[in-house]
Amino acid sequence: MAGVAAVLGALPQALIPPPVRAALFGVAALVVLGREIGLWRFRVPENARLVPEEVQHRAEWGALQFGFEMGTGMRTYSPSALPHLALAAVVLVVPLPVAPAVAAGFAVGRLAMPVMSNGWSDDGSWTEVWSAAERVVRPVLAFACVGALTVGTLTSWY
Amino acid sequence: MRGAARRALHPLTPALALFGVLGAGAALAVPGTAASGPLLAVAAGCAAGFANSGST
Repeated sequence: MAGVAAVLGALPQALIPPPVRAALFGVAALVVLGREIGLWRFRVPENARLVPEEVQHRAEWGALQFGFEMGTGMRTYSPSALPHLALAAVVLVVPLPVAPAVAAGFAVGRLAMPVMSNGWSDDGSWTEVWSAAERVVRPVLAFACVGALTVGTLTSWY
Repeated sequence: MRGAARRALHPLTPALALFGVLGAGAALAVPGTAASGPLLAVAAGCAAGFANSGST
């Protein structure tokens, strides 16, 4: 996804002046930040389907297919708009050579939650722990994401 | 293992780790520093990926 966005982003990054692209990204970042900290609500594009559990039992590649579909958003829900902002950043302001770093970070972050859930317990109590911490963690994640993208944009990523 | 994980992992740990990565990235964000951009990009992607995960 990030690779496709990076290639597609080469066009607007070549045609639109950097200040305009930075301004567009800034507006998007403020809108998403406001959503993540609860100032306003709006739906974000999402597939809104779950990968059927039986997929992971298909032959030897079932688990890989399950992880690919869920991890890339082909069949999953998106409780946050931060992935959409990261995608917009890759299209508008992140240089092509740096785009894989955004994708790698996304994969690590996406992996962290199930790893922590599995490490916590097998009785499903992680969901309760996460729910209790979510009001604090979500704004922290939003400020971390927007802050990193903004600093990177202002310093031109190099 | 599970008990150790319970003691070692606070729900805020990933967010704090992200702040650490972001802080390191910001500290390195000096023009001409090759690592600053990719580090910030990883931090941003990591926050987005974690936020996208929901509870699992």
